[in-house]
Amino acid sequence: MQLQTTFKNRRAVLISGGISSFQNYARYLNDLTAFYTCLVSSRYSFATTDIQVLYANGGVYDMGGHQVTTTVANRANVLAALHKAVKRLGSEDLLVLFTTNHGDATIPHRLNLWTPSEYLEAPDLGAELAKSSDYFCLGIFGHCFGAKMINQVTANTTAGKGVGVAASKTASHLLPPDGAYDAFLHHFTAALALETPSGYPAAADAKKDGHIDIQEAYDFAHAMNKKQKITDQPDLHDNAATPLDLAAKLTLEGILP
Amino acid sequence: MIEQPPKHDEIEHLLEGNNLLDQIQERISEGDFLPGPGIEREREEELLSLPVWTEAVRVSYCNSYVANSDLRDALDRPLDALSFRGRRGLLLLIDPDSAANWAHACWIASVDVDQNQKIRMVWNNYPPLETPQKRLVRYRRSNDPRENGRLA
Repeated sequence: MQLQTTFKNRRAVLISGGISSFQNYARYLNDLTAFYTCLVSSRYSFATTDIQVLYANGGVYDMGGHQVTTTVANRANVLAALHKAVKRLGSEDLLVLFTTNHGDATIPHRLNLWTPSEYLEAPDLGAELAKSSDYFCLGIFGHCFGAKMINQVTANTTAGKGVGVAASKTASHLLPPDGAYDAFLHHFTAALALETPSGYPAAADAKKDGHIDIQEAYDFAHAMNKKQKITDQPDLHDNAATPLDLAAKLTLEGILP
Repeated sequence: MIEQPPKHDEIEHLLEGNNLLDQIQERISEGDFLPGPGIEREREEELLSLPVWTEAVRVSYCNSYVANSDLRDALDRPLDALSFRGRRGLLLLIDPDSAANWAHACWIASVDVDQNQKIRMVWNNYPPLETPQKRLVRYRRSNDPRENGRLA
């Protein structure tokens, strides 16, 4: 099936804070690496220059065959990355946000960042997203209570252009049996890539149209979580006139008819 | 990535010889603990319904004796309700959902080693603060067939 709209510019911001080295479990770096690998794969071909990665205290990591220089995941750097990503996005452009690691149920909701005193509050995200007026936005929130970030995407992007996915309305959980990844993010990323990071196929193209839309990826991840008895409470919303109409059409390449 | 710290035989001996975990389990079942710094009053009712002591509970202890100044949570907030009067304390994390990312409900306990081994407990949504010198070690009860790591 042909896309109705193919995105002109696509940017991504990947964020994993970690609080400290003692809470920054290895699976979070794997979550980022798997998603980065998916973005730069031949299926999606994101330009590496359009992907910003903020990870713990920074450093250079091998992601999808690329040496990726990550930025320290503190509040100032996250806001700067969002500002840069949103700047001059147009009506046929896509911004992808991806988070993993710890988050809190405080009001307002907080995404924990690097060092115990650093966090991003939900309204901070919304304020940055609102700085450009008309672009497509996909938020994938894997951190605990990430569902509390979804409305920042749907409320601060143009109607019919914002989709938010979250691993859980409560705490999100690791992937059994070894906790090498977070469960929902692992399955969601595998769905988008149509294979796991280890190369096993992920049969997520339910409509068999050759494209993975966000609803399909969500359904796949949700079903896999249920099968593995993960106690996440996933969530998906968009700001289309008919709820989830956009989620069923939005892909990382463009919009389905 | 950081390595897991080794177990501390003297502290494990204290935990085993005085049925401290049984006492802690009883305190949890009776709801005999205070809210920690991460617990907002409006969320107490919601979260209190979540944690129970099940087979999935994972107990960890700090790998050295602690002082009151060490009693902080991972977000570096003081755990004043755990303050003890003696010179040495034990610090324990009782995690009912160790497969979850933080924040999720857990219990933190201190044991006053020098003052009748009095136990003080809070429930919180983050674990204790760790430092290179004060690390949490997973505790495996020697009399628990599910926790037979040392027998293997």
